[in-house]
Amino acid sequence: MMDDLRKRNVKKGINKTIFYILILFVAFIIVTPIYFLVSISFMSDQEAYDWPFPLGIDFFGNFSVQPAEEEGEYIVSFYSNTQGKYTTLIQGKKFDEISDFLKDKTNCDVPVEKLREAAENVDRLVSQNSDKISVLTAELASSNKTLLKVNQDIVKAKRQLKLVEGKESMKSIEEGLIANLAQYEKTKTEAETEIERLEKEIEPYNSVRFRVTKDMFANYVTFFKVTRDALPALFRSIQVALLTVLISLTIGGTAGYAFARYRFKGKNMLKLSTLFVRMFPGIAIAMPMVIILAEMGFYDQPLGLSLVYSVGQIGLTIWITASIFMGIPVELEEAAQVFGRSKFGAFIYVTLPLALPGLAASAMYAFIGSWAETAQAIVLTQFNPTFPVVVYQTMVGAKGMVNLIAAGGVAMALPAVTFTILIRRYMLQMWGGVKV
Amino acid sequence: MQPKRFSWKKAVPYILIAPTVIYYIVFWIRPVLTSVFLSFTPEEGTGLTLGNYSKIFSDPVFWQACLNTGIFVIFSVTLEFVVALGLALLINKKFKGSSLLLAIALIPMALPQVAVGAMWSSGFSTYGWLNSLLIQIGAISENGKILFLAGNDISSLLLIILIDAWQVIPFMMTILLAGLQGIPKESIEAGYVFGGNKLTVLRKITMPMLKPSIQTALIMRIISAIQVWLIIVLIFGFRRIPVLLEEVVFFQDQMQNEYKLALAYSVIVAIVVSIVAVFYLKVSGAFDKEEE
Repeated sequence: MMDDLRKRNVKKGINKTIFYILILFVAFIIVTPIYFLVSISFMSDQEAYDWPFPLGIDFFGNFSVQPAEEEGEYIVSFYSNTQGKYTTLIQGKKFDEISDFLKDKTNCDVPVEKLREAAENVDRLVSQNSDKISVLTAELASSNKTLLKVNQDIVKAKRQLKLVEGKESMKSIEEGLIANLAQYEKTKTEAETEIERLEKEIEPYNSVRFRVTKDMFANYVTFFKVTRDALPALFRSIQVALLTVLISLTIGGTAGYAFARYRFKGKNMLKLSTLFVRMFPGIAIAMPMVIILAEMGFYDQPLGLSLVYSVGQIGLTIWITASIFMGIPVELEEAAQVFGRSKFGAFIYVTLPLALPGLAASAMYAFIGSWAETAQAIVLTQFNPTFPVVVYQTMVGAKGMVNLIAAGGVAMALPAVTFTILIRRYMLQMWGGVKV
Repeated sequence: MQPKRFSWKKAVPYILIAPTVIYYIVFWIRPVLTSVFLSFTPEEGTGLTLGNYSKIFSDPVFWQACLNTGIFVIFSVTLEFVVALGLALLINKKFKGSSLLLAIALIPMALPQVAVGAMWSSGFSTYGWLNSLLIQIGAISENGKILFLAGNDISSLLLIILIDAWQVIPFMMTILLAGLQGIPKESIEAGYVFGGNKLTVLRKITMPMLKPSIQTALIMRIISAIQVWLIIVLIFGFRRIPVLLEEVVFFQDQMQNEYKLALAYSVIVAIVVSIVAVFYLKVSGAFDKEEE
C-alpha cells in the first residue's frame, strides 16, 4: 500500500519535472535570440570585433596605460573578456586624441584628466622600479629569442619530414625527426608559458589600470547620428501609425458596430473581406498606389502611406471591434433609451465608455501593424522614408556594423513588443474567439 | 401595390458600413484593377499584350521561385502547426508562471520583420552569436564554426523555415492553447467516462472542438506564408533563394524599367494565394459555416 503510494508520488514528481524542463526549453528558445540582439546592441565596436562574443553584457571598460618605447608616448590597452588579457588599442602622446579614439571604439568616455593622471602614475611607477623592470625585460627578451629560434626549428623539421615521409629506406631518419619535433614543441610551450609569466610579473611595475563605466546607449545615439534620416523617419513613422489608427478606427469601428448589432445583406462578404484583402500582396497594391497618390498629392507623405496601410487594418479593426461590441449587452443601450436617451446618445454615454479598453487595444493593434510595415513603405516612399525603411536600408547597405544594426532593430522592436504585451488578452480573443 | 417605403431604420447598418465599402472601392479595388490592367500592357508603348506573362513563364527563375515558395509553404506550415499543437496539448494546464510564458510567447510575433532579420543575420553569420554561444557552452571548438549561410539551396531554405518557425510557433501555440482552454472540462471527462482512451478523446472530442481556432490560425498562416520575402532578403539578399514575392520586389525596386513585369508577377502571386485560400476554405468547410 505505502509502496504503491510512494511510487505514484515519484512518478508524479518526475512528470512534473519533465513538464517544467519542457516549459523552460520553450522559453529558452524564444528568449535567447532576443537576448543576444539586445546584448549586441550594447556592444562597442571593439567588443563586436572581438570573437567569440561573451555570454554576459559588460557595463564597464577596463583600461591599462603603459609607457611606450618612444619618449613621451603611451600605449592604452583594453581588457578583452574573450581573450582574457589586455589588447593594445592606441599609442600616442596627445591625450585628447586618445580620449576621442577610445570613446569611438569602446563606448567609454575616458576623461583627458584621467589619462594624464594614469600617465603620471605609470611614469612614477616605472622610475621607482627601473631595476626590477630591466631585469624582467632582459629575461623576457631572452625568452622571446628562444621562442623565435624554436619556431624556425619547427618549420625546418617539418619541411624535412615531408621529404622523407613514407619512404621505407629513410625510416630511421623519419623517426629521429619526429622525436626532434616533439622536443621542439615542448620547448616552445615552455617558452610561451615563461613569456606569459614574465609579462604578468612585469605588468604591475610598468602599467596602471583603471575602470570606466560604459555608455550603454552609445550605439543608439550613433545609429540616429550616422543614418541622418533616422530621427525624422522615427517621427514620420509615429505620424503614419497615428493617422492609420485614426482612419481605421473611425471607419472600421462603425462597421464593427453594425456587425455586432444588425443583420444585413452582404455581412459574410464583408466579414471575409479581411481575408480577401490579404490575398492580394500588399506590395502589388502599393505599386499602382504610387500613381493614385501622386494624383492626390499624397505621394511620399505620411498621410498617403496611412491611407494604404488602413486598407489592411480596417478589416482587422472590424473583427476586433465587432467582438468587443458583441460583448456589451444590447439591453444596456435599450435601458438608456427607456430613460430618455436617443439611440445615438445611448451609444455615446453607455456603450462607448464600456468599449473603450477594447477600442484602445484595437488602436494599439493597428499602431503595431503600421509601425512594423516595411514592404509597402519601400515602394511608397522616396525622400521621406519611415523608420523600418531606414533600418532595412542600413541592413542591406551596411553589412558589418552588427552592433548599430542591432540597435536599430531593438529601437524598432521596443514599441511593438510593449504594445503587444499590453493588449495580449484582446489579441487572443480576436484570433481564437476565446478568452484566456 | 404600394412601393416599398424607404425605412431609415433598415438603412442604418448600410450607412454604418458605407464608409468601409467606399474605402475598399477607392483604395483596394481600384489599385487591384489598375494592377491587373497594367500587367497586360507593354513596358513602353500602348495596347494590350501578354508579353509580360510570357516573359515570366519562360524565365527559369520563376519556376525556381514557385518551387521554393511551395516547399516553404508546405514545410513551414506543417512544421509550425504540428509543433505548436503538440506543445499546446502538453502545456494545456494551469501552472505557476503560465501567464509569464504566454507573454513571452507573444514577443516573437510582435517583432517587426526588420528586427527579426537583424537578430538572425547576426546569429547565423560565421562570426555571429550562435557560433559564439555554441563555443562558449563547449558544443563546438573554435575551429569547428558552422557556416550556416554558405549551404546549398535546400539548407538555406531550411534555415528560413526555422527562422519563420521561431517566430510563428509560439504564437500559434498560444492561439491553440486559448482554444483548448475554452473547451469545457465536462466534454473531455465524458469522453473518458464512455471508455475512450487518450487518443480517441483527442481525435473525437478535442480536435473537433478546437477546429475554429485551428481554421483561423491556419488560413492566416498559409496566406502570409505564400507571401514570404522580406526575411529571405534580409538574411540572404536578393536572388540567392528566389521566391515569388521577392521577385516582385526585385523587379520593382532593384531593376529599372521592369515595373509592368513586377505587376504581372504580383497578379500571379495573388491568383496563387486566392486559389490556395479558397481551396482551403472549401475543404475545411468554412464556407458552409458562413451560409448558416
